Amino acid sequence: MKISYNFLKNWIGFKESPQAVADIINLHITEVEEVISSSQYEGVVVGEIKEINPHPNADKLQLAKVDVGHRPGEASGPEGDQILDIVCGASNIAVGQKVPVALEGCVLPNGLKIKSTVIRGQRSFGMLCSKAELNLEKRSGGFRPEGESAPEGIWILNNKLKIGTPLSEVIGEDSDTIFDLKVLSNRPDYLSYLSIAREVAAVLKKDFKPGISLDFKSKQGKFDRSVAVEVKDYKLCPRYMGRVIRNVTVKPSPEWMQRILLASGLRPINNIVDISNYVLLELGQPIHAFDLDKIKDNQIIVRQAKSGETIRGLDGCEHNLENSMLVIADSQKPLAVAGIVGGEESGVTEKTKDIFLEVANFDMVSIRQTSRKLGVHTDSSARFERGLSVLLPELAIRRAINLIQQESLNCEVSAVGIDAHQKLPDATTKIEVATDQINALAGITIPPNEMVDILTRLDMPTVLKNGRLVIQIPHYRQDMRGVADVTEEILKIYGIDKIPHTMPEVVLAPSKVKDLRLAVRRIKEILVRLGFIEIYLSPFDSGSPRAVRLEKPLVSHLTHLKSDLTSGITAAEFMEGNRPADRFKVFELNTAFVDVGEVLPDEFQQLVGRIKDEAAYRQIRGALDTLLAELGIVVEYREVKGLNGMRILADKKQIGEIVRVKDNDAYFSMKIDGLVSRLAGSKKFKPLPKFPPIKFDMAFVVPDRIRIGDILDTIATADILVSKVSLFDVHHLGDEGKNIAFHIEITSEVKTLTKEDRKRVEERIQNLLSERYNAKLRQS
Amino acid sequence: MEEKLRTILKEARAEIVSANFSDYEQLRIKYLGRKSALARSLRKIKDLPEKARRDMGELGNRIKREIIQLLNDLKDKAKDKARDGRSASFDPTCPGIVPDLGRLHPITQIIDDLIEYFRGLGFSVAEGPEVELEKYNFDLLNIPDNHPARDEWDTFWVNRKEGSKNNTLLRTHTSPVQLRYMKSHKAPIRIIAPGRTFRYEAEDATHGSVFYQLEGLMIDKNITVANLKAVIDAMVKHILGEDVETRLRPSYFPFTEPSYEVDAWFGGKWLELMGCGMVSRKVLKNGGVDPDEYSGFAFGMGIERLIMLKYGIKDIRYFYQPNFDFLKQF
Repeated sequence: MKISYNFLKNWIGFKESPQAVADIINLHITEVEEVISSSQYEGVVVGEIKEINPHPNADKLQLAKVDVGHRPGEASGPEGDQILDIVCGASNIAVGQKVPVALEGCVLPNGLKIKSTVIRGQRSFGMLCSKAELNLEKRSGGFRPEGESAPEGIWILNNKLKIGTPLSEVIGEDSDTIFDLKVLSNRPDYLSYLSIAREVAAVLKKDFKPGISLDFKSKQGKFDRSVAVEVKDYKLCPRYMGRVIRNVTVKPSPEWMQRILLASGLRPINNIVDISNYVLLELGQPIHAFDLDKIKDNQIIVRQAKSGETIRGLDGCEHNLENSMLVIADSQKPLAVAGIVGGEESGVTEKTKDIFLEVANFDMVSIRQTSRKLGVHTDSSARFERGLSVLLPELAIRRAINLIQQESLNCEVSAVGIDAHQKLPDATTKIEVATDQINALAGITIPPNEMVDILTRLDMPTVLKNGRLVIQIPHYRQDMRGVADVTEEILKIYGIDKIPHTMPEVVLAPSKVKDLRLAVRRIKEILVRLGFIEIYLSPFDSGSPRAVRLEKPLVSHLTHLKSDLTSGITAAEFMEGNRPADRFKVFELNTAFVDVGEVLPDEFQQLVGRIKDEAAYRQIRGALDTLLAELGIVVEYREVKGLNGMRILADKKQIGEIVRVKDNDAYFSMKIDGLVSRLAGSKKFKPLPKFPPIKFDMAFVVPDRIRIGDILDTIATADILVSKVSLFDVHHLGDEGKNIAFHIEITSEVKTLTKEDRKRVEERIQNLLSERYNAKLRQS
Repeated sequence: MEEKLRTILKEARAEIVSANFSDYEQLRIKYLGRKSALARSLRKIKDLPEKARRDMGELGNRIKREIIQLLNDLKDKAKDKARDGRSASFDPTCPGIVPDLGRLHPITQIIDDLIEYFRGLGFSVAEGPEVELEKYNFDLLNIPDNHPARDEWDTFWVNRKEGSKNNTLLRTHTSPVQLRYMKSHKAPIRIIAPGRTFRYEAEDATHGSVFYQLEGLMIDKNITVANLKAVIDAMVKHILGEDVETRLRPSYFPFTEPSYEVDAWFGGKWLELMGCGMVSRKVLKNGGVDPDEYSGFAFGMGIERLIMLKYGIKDIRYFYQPNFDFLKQF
């Protein structure tokens, strides 16, 4: 909702500046999303010429030093004023004169943007203006390039003006400031000037009397036009008020009204339409005016649309209506989509003489559904869908007639008003809240009289009775129900900033974290220690069997939630310095989703890692083994056909895989959830060896088909003394097979090992490998 | 005598020139010590006749100086050698071989930091599913269907049928965790719930369709707006710095009342950080908490937004792009 500062100022009568009012609204009422100045002369101020020197490089130009007054945040001269160097071409300036100065950054009414520029070697920080340049005097020709002489001369201002005064004040420009306010969905009344003004006045503690005139004179005696209204469903249309007005003069609305409409973003059309829009802004109640002659058989039926019916709206679009939509129809066809958009055909035009004014209340849910189905969102639907008071039309119709009568003096207002409704609610309801409860929720003690004052100013007359507030809630404040609502209202006017910061006092209790989260954190930490960089990628992909499908994707090919994060990390092109990175270690650990045929999918944590570097497969295998060893988890790797790598199994179930893509590219993936219970909770300490180990190397030649993993396993289990075995070299020898070399360590916990022990183990290993794999020992 | 002195010098020269610095002390004693041949010879000079005494004295002193010089040279040679112990091609100014430095993603870092911070205040960490039931994401949070409040949460629907109780969606905020936790735990409650959330919203520099939130919920006896202010302020100071001020502005969320937006004075202006408020009585009831006995506050903030403010990052999409120029900065 766009609100005019001038309008509020005149209505409430305050002296606060636009910025001060913006702050009041922002901190006490609702968010000010934008403050828009409507002055044409923003950035043009009164300056005094302090010094004039000839321009060193141009005969026709002069160099002026101009005092533009104190400008906060800018470097300033000795008296706190800012002195600007400005190059000027006009010859009519003299020291001591007051002139209009367009400051850097401002845009003149003619569209010229003022920048600091160098003019023939001298920097100029702004521009002295002529009347014509300010669009205050007509002149021929186009814009003057900066620094060139202004033939008509600089506008010399009255010498009594204060330096720094905005030019808009000097010329009495009718400038305004517009506040664009965020509309809270529980406060439809914030879509009206009345409620915003009332609350601003309450913060300022100004007595606010809206003084909205509702009087009008109706035609006495015979009135030969009338409309019969039939409401088919009072649930969808709880109230329908109407009035026939004859002999209106349709013409442009008065300037003050047009200005407020424009300020609030509405286009002036004609006086009748503008008045209905003005009341919409003032009171928040939508109003619609029909051309009476376009209502067939003088009959209005508020009914649901018939399938196949269409209407051409005032928005210029043809709308296909459905059963669920409420329409305002005459005896034959829909004239308007109720509460959303009027029909083009039945609208008020310059030719209209007689009108039928509709002020109604519609069901918020129905309006919202219809508005969404049609894709039509109007100022009217925005208000109805937030839920308006069923009592508001009484006020609004009188206000609209009052304004129409002011505008179109000879018009005749029917003495008979239509008012179709069922039982109406009370104008106010009473609630009681203990002041103690309010203070207890706020955490501050507010004097009861202050509470009474605030609520009363907010149109909720309140009295204090035995420590309890007895509050009259007007019907339009349906959101006011209990202690929390009352506290909220009081605090926001009282000032949220006045509430102290008080840390809660509580009974201590240990903080708990789920094992899975702790495991995830540990895994991430280990991987980081191993040099991996963590990445987050999109959770969406184009789908796979059992993946969870989105009803409507945002991007056409991202239709599903990932059931496997592998595709993301393997397909991603990792960039560095705007080029694909050629070596990296990365991992992602996040949720993957599988549809298991239940209401909610199975969500599990999946870890994927990728290395792009030399010997990528061995590097990533080493990283994975280190990770698992660090976590104390034992898994099984198994070769399977068709997989360029191995499966990872835990408890015989597949939990992931490790895959070589290329020599320099490999990845692994692993589900984490199942491993959490197996995570070694605390590490066990192993006594340090009492006797020194013996280390030696062995190298073998084996046929190519023999798996190194099998040989490692064989060596590791060859003798109880073998405590460590690691591969340190593999190279292929062509037809002969491959040469593989190991570091082997033997350790005993009970004795010092001897050369004989080593020899025995060596022989055992050699024999086993020879037997099983036809391995030949390489003598070094 | 002369012969003897010259022999001493010859021997000393031969031995010292080829010696190592480790022998320095031993050689010094051998040639210059009180019991050295030189010292003994010099002591005998005084017994020589006048002329020979003068000549031999001169010679003896010259030889002594020469031996001192030789020993000094040995010392210097040792020093030079220490410097030359490195090979000539060694250049100590050559840069190091840089090891791969692993890094956690900035989202992980800030969430871990906040978890640690709140655990220090006794908050537990709660979780909830990312594919959520409509009732937890909306209805039980007092956001009924067809209410304009729902416009605030553009939604990725997974399964939606009119009137069904099993409608599912990608959670639009972490607030459903509040209800799940309330339903499964007794008050008092002190939790934070970090997690991934989704909005059906075209992506641009400031809007992501996927982002992280951190929800906070505290329910106890006598929890007040003043408590909310204190906890929020302390948290913001923890993240953005002790000199950062916060303020609350009126707002509206269907699940809190009163509701506030939190601004932080950071980098010379007020920046919107998060929403918060006192948990509404209706939501407490929906979670099985007696609103007459307990009150509480809740807050929810966008993690990426927080990181963006903290580091001055202008594009939210960086967080989900595989770009090391970004990732290696945190």
